[in-house]
Amino acid sequence: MDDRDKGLTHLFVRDLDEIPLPARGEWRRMARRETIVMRSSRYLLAGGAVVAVLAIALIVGYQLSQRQQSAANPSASPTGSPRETSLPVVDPRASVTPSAATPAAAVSPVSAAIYDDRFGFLVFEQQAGKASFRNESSNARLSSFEQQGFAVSPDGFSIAYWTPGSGPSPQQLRIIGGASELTLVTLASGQRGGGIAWSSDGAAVAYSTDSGGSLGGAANSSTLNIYELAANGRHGTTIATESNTGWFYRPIAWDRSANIVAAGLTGEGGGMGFYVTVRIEPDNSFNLQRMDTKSSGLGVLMQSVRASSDAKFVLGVDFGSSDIRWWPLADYAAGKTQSGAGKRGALWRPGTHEIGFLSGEQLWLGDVDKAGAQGLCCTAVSGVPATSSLRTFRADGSAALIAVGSTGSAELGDFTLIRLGGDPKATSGDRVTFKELGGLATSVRFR
Amino acid sequence: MPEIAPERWGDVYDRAFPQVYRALVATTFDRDRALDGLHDAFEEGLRNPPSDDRNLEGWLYRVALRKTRRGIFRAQREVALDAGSSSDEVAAIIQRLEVGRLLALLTERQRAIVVAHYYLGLTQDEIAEGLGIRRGTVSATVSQSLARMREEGIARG
Repeated sequence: MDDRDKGLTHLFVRDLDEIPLPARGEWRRMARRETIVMRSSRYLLAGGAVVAVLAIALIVGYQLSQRQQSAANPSASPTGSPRETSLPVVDPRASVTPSAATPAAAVSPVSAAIYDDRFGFLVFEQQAGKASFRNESSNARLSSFEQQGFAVSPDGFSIAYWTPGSGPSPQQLRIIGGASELTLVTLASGQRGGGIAWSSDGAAVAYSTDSGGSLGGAANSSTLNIYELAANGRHGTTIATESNTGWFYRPIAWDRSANIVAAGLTGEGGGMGFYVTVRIEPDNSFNLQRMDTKSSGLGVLMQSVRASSDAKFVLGVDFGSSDIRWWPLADYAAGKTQSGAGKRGALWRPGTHEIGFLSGEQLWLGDVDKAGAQGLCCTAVSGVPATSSLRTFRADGSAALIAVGSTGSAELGDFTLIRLGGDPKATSGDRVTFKELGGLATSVRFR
Repeated sequence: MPEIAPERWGDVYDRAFPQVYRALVATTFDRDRALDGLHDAFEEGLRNPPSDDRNLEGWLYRVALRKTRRGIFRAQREVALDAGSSSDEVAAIIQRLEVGRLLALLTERQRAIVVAHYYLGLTQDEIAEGLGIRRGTVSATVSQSLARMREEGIARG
C-alpha cells in the first residue's frame, strides 16, 4: 500500500527538481578507473586464470588510486452565482475562533506606533492546508479556512483560493473574506487546480487547471481560464490550452486596462519555459503570443515570478544566476536585469513599481520606472539582520515583514515588521518583532 | 536475476544521477558531499553491481548516503543550511524552495528518510532495509518530521 501523501509527494518533486545539477563531466569521478574495471570485467568473463590475477591487481590499484584521488579533490464548470456582485472581504469580527495555543506577539514600547489592525496576516496552521487570519497587534487567530494555493486581491481585502478537494469532493475555486465565501468554479473529476492571479482592478481572476499525467509527464492538459465577477462577465472561459507537451500554465497577472492576461508555462524543472500573453480583443477573440524564455540562459524560476499590483510589470529571479529580471507585462523581451549577487528575495511593494530585496544588512527598494543603465535606483533601510529574508509587504505597502530566523528558514523564528511610510526616502525604519508568528503566508487587509 | 553488466552500469547510473543527486543535496545540504557519495556509489556499482536495475535510484541513494554518512546515523551531526553548505549557489536555491525551507527544520537523519519517502518514492520497508533501521523507526521518523514541517506550514502558498 502506498502510504504517501500525494500532495506532499507533488510538492517534493516540484521543488527538489529545481536543484541544479553539476556539469555532466562531474557526474563521475574518474573515467579512467571505470574503463579499467570494465575491461577487467570482460577479461574475467573470458575465464582466464592469468587474466583474473591481473584483474585483481587492477582492482587493488584502483582502490589505491581512489584513496589518493579522494585526498586530492476536461473543462471546469463555473458555479459562481452571477448575482454576486460584492466580493467577500476579510472581516476580523466575522468568525472569531480564539485559541489558547495561539502565540502572542512580543510587544515592544514602539509597537503601538507600528501596528495597524486594519491589516493582518494569513498564517499557515499546523494542520496541512489550513490557514488562519491574524491581526497585527495581538497575533490572535481570527478565523481559518483550508486551501491548496491562493492569491490575495490587489487591495488585500479578498483571497481567491483552491479548496483541497480530497476524495470524491472536487476542487473548487473560491473567494473568501472573513466568514463570507463565494464559490466560482467546481473542477471536473480528474482536474487539479493550478495557479491563480487577480486582475489589476480586483474584479476578475485568471486561473489554470491541470489534468492528465503528473507534472512533467507528456500526457497532460493544462488550461488558462478567466472569471469575471460581474454578473454579465465571462464565467470560467478558457483562453488558452496546452496539451501533451509537459508544460503547465501558471497565470501571472491580468491587466484589465490593457485587456492582457499573462501566464508562464512551466515544466518539471520548475523554470518558466515560455512567457505567454493573451490579449482579449473587443470581438471576444483571444490573441495569444508566446515567448521562449529558455533561449537566454536558464530562464526564470516560475515560483519567483510576480506582478506589480497594477499588473504593469512582472519580475522573476533567474534560475542559474539569481539575477533579478523585470519586464513590462506585454513585452518580456523589453526586460531589464539587476545582478542578484548577494541579494535575498525580490518582491513588489504593493501600490508601487518598487522591487524590494535584502542586501547585506539593508532592505532596498528599487523603482523600476527610475532604473537606469546601472540598474535599479534604490533607497534603503539599514539594520536588517544579515541572515534574514524578505517575506512580504503589508498589503498597502506601508511596511515590510522580514523573517529573522537564525537558520535562514523563512518559516522559522521571528519576524520583524518595518514601517516604510509613503515616501521611501522618508522611511522611518521603525520596527517591532513578532515572536513565533508561525508559517507566514502573506499580509491581508481587514474591512 | 543477472547482475547489471559493467558495460551497462555507466548508462543506468547516468539515468539515475539527476534524481539521486538532488535527493542527496536535499538531505545533506552539501553539494560536495552529495557528489562524493555518488562517485563512491558509482564505483561500488562497478565492483558489486546491484542485482537488477529496478529501483536503481533507491540503491544508489542508500549506498551514496552510507558513503556520505560520516555521522548522519551515528553522531547525527547537524549541518546548518547556510553555514555548512559547500555551495552558496545550491544553498541559495534550496532556501528559495518551500520544501527546502521546511527540510531545514529537520535533522539530517530525518531529512534522509523524508526525502527517500516523498521524493525518491521508497517505501518505508525499503528505507528500513536500506538504512539498516527498524521499520517502526522509519514510520515514527516520518510522522515526527511531517508534524514538524506542518507546524511551520507545509501548506502551499
